[in-house]
Amino acid sequence: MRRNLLLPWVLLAPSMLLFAVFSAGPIVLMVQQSFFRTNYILSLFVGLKNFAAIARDELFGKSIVNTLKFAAILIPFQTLVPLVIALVVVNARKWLQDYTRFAFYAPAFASGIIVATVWQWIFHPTEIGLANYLLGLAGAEPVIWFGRQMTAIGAICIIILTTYIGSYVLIYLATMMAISPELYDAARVDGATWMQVRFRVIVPMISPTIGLVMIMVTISAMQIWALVFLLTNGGPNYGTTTMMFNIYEEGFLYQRYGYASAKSFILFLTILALVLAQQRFRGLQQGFRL
Amino acid sequence: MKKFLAVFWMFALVCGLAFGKGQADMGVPIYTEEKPAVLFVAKDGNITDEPFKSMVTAFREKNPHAVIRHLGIDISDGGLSAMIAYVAAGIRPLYKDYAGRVGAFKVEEYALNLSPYVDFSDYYPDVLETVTVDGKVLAIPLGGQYCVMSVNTTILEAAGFDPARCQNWSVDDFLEMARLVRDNTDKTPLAFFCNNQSADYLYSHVLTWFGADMYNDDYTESNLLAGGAGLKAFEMFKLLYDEGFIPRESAVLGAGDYLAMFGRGEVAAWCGWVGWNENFRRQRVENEGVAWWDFDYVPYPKAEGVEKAPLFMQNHFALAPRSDYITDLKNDIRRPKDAELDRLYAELAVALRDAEESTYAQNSYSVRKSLALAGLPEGLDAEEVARHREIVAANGSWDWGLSQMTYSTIRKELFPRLQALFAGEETPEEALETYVENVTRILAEAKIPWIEQ
Repeated sequence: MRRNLLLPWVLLAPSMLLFAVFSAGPIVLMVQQSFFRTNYILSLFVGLKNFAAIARDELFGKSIVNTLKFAAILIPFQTLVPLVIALVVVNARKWLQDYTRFAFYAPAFASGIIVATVWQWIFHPTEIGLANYLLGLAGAEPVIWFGRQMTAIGAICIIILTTYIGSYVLIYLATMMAISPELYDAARVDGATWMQVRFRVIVPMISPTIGLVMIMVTISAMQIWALVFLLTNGGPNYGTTTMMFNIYEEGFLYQRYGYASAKSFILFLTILALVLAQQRFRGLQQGFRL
Repeated sequence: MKKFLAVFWMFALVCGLAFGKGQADMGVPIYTEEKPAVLFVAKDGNITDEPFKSMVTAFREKNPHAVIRHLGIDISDGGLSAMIAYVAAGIRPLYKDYAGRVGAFKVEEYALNLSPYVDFSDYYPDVLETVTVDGKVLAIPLGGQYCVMSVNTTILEAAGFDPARCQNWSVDDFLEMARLVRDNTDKTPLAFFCNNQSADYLYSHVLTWFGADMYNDDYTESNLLAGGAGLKAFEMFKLLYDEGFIPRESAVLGAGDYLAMFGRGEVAAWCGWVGWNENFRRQRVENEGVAWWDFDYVPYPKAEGVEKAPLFMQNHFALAPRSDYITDLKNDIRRPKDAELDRLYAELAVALRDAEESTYAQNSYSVRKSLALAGLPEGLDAEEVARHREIVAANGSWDWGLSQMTYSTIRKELFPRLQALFAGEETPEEALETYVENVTRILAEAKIPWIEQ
């Protein structure tokens, strides 16, 4: 009996240890450092001064707005586009499903730097770039994609969408495959059309998964950093400086670790608030339906 | 869930406050009284070259008890981060680098006053002034170089502009050249890339065309709003872009792009360091058997009423840490002064100065009266260096604030303004005002970078 009680803890211990060291530990450290001015060798307790300084930090304010712009584009698109793709192929032949999985997931195999390098060429500001070459064929002038905030944010969103959409297609497909085939048969017997099967049967059945994807997309949209670092360096004129990029600059460029931790704390709370709000909204929706 | 979150945050706060690092956590000194160690930090090339090796050998013969550790660091802007990290760790390195980075350490709290150790009478007073704070010489100037404009005479001739006119040209002459190059060739009139701060020498010189002063006398604020020269320069930035005199992709292209353009001979004018043009041409010959373009060094164009357009410059110096620099914030406890360590650092800095002949020779101006331009390294053209010196003598150097401790931060402020200007998000007036405001704020907040106060 006693052995049975211990066994789950023994099995959980490795992952709990990893979680403590690599997730919970850094979060605790981040919260702690946000009350200090520190270079990790010398530290000075400053109470809430870091947070007071953040309130006056115009660039951080701009980075919050930029991050929300990214989120406003990415959350609906990254949630809905893979859903539509999955809905289209869910009952298709197996080879088409396999091909779809592979085709959409393949870009995720490449490292961020390879993805950025390829897209750097695609969005090159001259006719050398594929995007401008195609525009040229249509008789349009080349666009300096990363030269204006609007096009730079748009270009980065396109890169994120095309590269990371595959994971969400996989999640949706896996959930859809788990739905009992009897439900489809029943719907067809009742005369449901192709569209009705998808939107009246499948979508309601996978709504918890849609919520999960939305949360995952929200978190990743709030943490955009690598592509900004590699493609725009936060420019033009800080137009693509996200909260993560700003935090990176504070910490690793200016060595203001305490200040960067305080900003990270705010980012953490922002993500938490968004996720909780989404969950609450979904709860209300479900309550309304019932 | 709510209970869990509440418990988690309480736990995090208690942990943070209980285990926060305080004054007791100080860096461990890397030396002992018996065997002091000196850490020498410089960019990679300087560590392995012969003058450095001979300097170290001479130093070791004189100080057999001392241990020298040397470290080569990346010369990109990450270098400053690395240097700050060493200081933060309690390690006291002797730095040899360009002023933009070492300038951050040129503060009394950290740098050793070298006056008692070195006879500075041989140094040119204006050079010495850049490293002097409150009468204390905090670094040894090692020489430097100027960023001179060069023109591709092959392109100019093809465009129908006589290159001889560039030898004493006005801004109007420059604009005429730019129009001819734009209209009559497929080349770019002026190299201008500003996707980051690294290539600021490619565009900052425009400020000097109009006689703009970057700082007031005591470096407390930017002077660019005074007299209208700064505004004229910002209007020129906009004009250059709108007229197509600089690449339309200027805001998003950087070093990798413009170096290739120079090499291919696709720009009519640009600003760069001595020796670059010849290297580009040599590579061209090696790769393709022929360098189809030729070049000449010219002064910057001058606006009406401006007599001198001073040159963008870069200097190097060696900086030694003092033994009692602040190691603790809370109680301002200082380490006891260690005269032996101070002497060793000063001696190494002096030895470095004496070994700097090769560095001096690669550059275009001297910091010491007794040094003569002799024995240029292979590959450097004496005529080219002489031409540089001629232009420098006629125009002087522009005070870009390179030796100020805030320079590395200030230099990150101009390129975003240019990006905003080119994107039409700001007018020249707005861009200039924001730039001046930011520079003045940085100067006001100037602090020792590795200790946030």
